[in-house]
Amino acid sequence: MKILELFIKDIRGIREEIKFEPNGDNFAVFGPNGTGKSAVVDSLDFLLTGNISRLTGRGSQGMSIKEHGPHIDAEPKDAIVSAKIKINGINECINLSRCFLTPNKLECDGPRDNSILKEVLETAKKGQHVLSRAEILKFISAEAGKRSEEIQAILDISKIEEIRKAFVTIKRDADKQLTYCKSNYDISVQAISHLIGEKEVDCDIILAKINDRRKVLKGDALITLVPGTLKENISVMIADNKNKRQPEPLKLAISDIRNAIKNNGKIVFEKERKLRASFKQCKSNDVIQRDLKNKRLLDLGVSLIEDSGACPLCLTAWPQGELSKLLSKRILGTTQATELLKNIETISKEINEEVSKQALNVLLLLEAAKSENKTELISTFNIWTDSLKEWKEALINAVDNYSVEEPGVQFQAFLSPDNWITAINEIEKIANAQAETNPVQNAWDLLTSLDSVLERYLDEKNKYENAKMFAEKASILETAFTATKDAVLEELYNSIRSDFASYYRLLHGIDEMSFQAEMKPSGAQLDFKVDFFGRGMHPPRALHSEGHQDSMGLCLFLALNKKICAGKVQCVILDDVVMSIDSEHRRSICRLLINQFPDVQFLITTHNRTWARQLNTDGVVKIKNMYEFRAWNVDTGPLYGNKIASWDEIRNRLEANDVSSAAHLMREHLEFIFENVCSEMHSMVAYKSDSRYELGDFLSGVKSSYRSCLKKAKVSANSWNKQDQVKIYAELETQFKENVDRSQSEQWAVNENVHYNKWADFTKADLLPVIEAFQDFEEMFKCSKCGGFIGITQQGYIEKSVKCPCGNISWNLEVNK
Amino acid sequence: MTQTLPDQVISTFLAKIKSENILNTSGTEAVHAALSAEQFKKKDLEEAIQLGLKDENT
Repeated sequence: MKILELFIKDIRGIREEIKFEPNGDNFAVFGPNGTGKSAVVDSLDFLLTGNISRLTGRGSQGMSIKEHGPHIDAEPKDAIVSAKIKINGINECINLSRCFLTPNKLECDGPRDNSILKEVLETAKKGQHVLSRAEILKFISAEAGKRSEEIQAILDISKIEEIRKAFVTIKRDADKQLTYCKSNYDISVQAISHLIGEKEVDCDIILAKINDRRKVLKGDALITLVPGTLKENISVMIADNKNKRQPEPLKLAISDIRNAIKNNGKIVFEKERKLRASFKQCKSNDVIQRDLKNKRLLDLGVSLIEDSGACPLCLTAWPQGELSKLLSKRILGTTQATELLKNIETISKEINEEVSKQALNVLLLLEAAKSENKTELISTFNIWTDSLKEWKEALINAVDNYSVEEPGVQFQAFLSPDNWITAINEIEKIANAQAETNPVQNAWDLLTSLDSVLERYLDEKNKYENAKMFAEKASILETAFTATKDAVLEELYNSIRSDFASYYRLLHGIDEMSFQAEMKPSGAQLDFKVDFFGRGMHPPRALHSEGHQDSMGLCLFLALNKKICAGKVQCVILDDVVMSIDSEHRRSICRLLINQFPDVQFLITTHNRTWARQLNTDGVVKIKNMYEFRAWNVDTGPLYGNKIASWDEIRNRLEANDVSSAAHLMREHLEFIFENVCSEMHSMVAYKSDSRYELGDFLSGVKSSYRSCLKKAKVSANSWNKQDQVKIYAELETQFKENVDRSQSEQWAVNENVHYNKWADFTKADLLPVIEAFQDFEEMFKCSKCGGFIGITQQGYIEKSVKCPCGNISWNLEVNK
Repeated sequence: MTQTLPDQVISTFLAKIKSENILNTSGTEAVHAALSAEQFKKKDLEEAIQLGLKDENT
């Protein structure tokens, strides 16, 4: 897509109407700051995207397209931008138009169902055709994570990142769910384990135990475990004896309690000591305390952010995702507190698991004591149970509830009372006595008890297995998606990296011939490193100058843009991007734009007049497409009428018999061109402290330089014995002399006309030969192929050659020694 | 139309989960639908994975 015509009315700083007719070629808008150049960029941005990135990016709270897009004195319905465009593959020109009254509606008179047009408009809508200096900083100066976000936004892969995050969240949630299901499953296993007196429990073991008991009760063996069927088809019928405890669970609980106190007590005691130490560290350090408090507040804040992105507390509107990003950044800052909190949570969870098991076992002993009405034992186990319960509760929310002061030694025996050994021995006697009662009654009672817990066991087992499988798959899918994303992006980054490094080498010539770059996706980040003069790879802003960083940003943008817009949106806007780049490298930029992007239409804005002139003299922008914004005021918008006239426009003015105007435009044209040619040809111009240079000052300089260069080129060609070249230079000398003679003879007329207002005495016939002479004179400095002007290239202080931007004109100045 | 980058990542990913039989057929199709939806929703993806765990022969 290229722009043939662009019409802007009442947008941002533009009042009334302004029209550009680049006809698919590059065009430039230049002028001092505050003259309305950015309004042109914003208008084109709005036309293609329905948005103005300047009004919606960071730091733009309180701004809106409808309110701040139109000129301050205009209504949204009057603020319109339209363009006549040409798209490769579609014969007819297409008119696009968008109004601020309906920013989401793009009027298009082209075939909307045409797939080429559709793809072009969709690519254009991504808005990745504008590069400003702020954008450069995003790529070059940003942290790895931020840069990745910015580049992902440009590549329009935010959806991929959204999916990746979803996979990560699903995996994390699945792991949490798995922990929860495992805990419930363990409890149900423990319940069965206690009943059957086996530590390891699975369906086969349970079935075997059931069938053992069914055999005692003269029943057939069951094939599958189905709750409610355990006592089916049993010939012996016995009444349930719910008060009787099974001896096996009691025996297992007793064994567990003894083992835990003997073997795990010391481990739990050490863990408990570490837990207290962590609390002390936490409570004695104000920074950790504050961070801890903030972290929990921030975590809560992130989870409560409104769908619209607004603050959940004060309801202030934030751009979507921005508040979440800010809070996440602050959460990252609380690293030490986070680590400490994680440590506390891990230890308290481990202790809690041990204490819970112990509490369950002691509870079983308490119930046995109750069923036997043993008052003293009931009291002992009640106290023990309460202590364990209290400990458990403190561990559940350890950060808030756990005491720092209490000594930890008593925890070595799981808070057991002094008489715990005697009490447990008593219960063991009860269990042994129970085992000696009627085996038929015991078998019946076990089947009854198992029936009541089997359903839950099977249900929890099923949930646990499902959660386990889900967590496994979620993990595999998350890894697979991240690997796929990284592979696709790496391939993409490799091609961008290669173009980026190649453009950078072209800009910086022999200084950076070995320049290389690395771009590696790493999780949510993008690591970007560049070579520093063969001294290793470093972050782009670590060692390179600001000018080099700017040129890197430009190269990276052009490489990215080539990837995204190739062949579709061939219009790129460079909005004042060469601020820190010196004149010599700007020339390289011109060569890069001409040679590497011959099919791309550039709109270049700049406040720098020298760069603007260079764009013309180096062949990037034709003179007819140079738009100068000289001043601006709120009522009229940019004062831009006096753009630099082309020779055709000068001749047309003369044709219309407006001699004075034609003469004025010609002088302005020549001054604009030859000031830059002076610079490129290293011409001597007498210094003026008031900088009021006139055409005559530039002309004498460039004539002298041209002659001198031709002379050197002839000497060089002779030294290399290139007689053909010598002949060409001799012909150029003759031609130049003729043109100089013609222009010198008429030069007085220009000055007379323009500077001394004697134009009234001149006619069309007087001025026409002057115009012809100067046009021919100008052509001597211009390449017929690329339209760029010649300039001297040098290495260090040695002048090496005279070249045009495309290299079609090339005079060697070096002598064969 | 040229395949966009997200489309490229999604299709490569789907080819991988199909070739490695990570999920069953209907689950893979549901994942495809969830990822290709104009408005991507995590919940849809979660449900698709859940669907993909089931034994389709039973």
